Amino acid sequence: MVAFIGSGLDVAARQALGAWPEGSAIWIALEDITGPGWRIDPADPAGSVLRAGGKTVRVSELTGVVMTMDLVHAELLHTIVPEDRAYLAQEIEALLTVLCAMVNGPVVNAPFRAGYQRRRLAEEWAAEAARSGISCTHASQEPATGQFIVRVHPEPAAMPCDEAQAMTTSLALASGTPFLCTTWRTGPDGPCLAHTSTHPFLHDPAHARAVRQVFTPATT
Amino acid sequence: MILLWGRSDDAPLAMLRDELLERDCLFFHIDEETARSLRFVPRASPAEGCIVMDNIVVDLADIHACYLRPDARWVELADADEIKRRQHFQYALCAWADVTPALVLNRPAAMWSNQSKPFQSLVAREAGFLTPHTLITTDPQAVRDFIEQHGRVIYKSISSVRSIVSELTLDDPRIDAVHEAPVQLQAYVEGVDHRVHVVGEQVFACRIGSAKADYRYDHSATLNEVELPAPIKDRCLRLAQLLGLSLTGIDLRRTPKGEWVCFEANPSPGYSYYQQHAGLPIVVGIAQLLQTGGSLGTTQPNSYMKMGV
Repeated sequence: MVAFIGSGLDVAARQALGAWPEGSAIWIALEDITGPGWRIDPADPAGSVLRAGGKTVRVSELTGVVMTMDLVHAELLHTIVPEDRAYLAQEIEALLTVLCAMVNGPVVNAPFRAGYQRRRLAEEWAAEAARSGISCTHASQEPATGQFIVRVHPEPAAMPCDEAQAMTTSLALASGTPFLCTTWRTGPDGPCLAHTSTHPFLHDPAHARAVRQVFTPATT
Repeated sequence: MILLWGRSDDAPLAMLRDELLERDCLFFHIDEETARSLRFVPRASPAEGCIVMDNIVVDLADIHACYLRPDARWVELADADEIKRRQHFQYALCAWADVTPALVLNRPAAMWSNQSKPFQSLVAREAGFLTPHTLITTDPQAVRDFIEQHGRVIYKSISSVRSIVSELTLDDPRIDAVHEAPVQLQAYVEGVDHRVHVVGEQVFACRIGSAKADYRYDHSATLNEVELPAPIKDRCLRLAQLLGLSLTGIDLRRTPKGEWVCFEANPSPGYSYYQQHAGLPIVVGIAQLLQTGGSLGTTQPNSYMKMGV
């Protein structure tokens, strides 16, 4: 059973579960984590239970996790008094991190990764690109924002689609994010990695399909 | 050249700076508190670039080792544009620190494990340590059961938010409130606290005498240097390696049965306190490591990244 974790306010993500076979996925809202019934022993997935949507599930029953948010934003904890939200957001993120580590299956994408990627500026991805062996350069800095644009070397006149796919795959492997969406920009100076997203938008059929593919071995 | 990044009035950084001066080491110190302006000028790859602090330009290619304890006090600056520039400076230098071939104490990506204490305890178990029986729960009855099972139980934050480790008893009225938010409980582990600093391949350990559950808040605590048994030393080195930390402060407790229980590994340890009170030459080890470079100064991902997370 794959756990989809997200905000109860994210109707689109919740509806995306409808495409999954009955009993193969469960929706865990942040509101569930701030509700009763959770008993997690990090060293014992079989003895750990969580409660979501009125159901009790053993952590050992989970075959994977889909995080439908990059990180736990304090603002999403609308059932918590405002002064406690920032602290609790960090606590929940720490809990979700260990929960993802306890699950014996793919995690799309672990808060562990998202936490690192909360600074998802281009230079962060340039660092990941360097790790994955993609030659790139900080060739320019946006004057208005100070953000860097990552440029890829060598600079072919146009960015072939298969090359972009290959580089995205390398980046996904280097950054440990099974789900990674990249946007490449071509211009007079060559191709640039213009945007990255580790957050699957499940209302987008392509994203939903990609997420399904990650779990295909586990759900068939 | 060695790069230091942190505030001059931060005791660990100040102690290291003095040691480097004593050794006549060439270093460049970025103090965000006193710098009027800070810029990161990118070059041909993420591992290259220049730092411009006020009127001084430093080529990062000249940096062979660095020690990072950045501070975010600049968020209190009045100038919104300067805050944005400082943020970008921090992001860019952290990204550089993650990929540079220089030795980095510690790489920002490696420090992340400390954000989730129970996650870090899983890595500690991987390193061969025992860890306290832990329960994270929103179930008041589970809290009561856990207390009844273990007798003495402490609670502390799940994340890296600093919390005073305190005991929880069955008559505590807050137990009924845990259904509103998860709380982390641990079985109280009887024994003597030990703090171990791993610096590259060197291990500095001290025993802490304290009657309080959290010795950090005990002004009468006593600290004495000790030699760890070889297997425990090896586990500490293994844990540091798994976490990708060339410098770490590991909290251990030795039980009356002679077992060693690991609580956490601090990726940015305030080692100066232990040096001052136990007489451990930790700063000498750090300075030596920075001078010579170390075996952990690679661009490889941390081992724990391969744990399926």
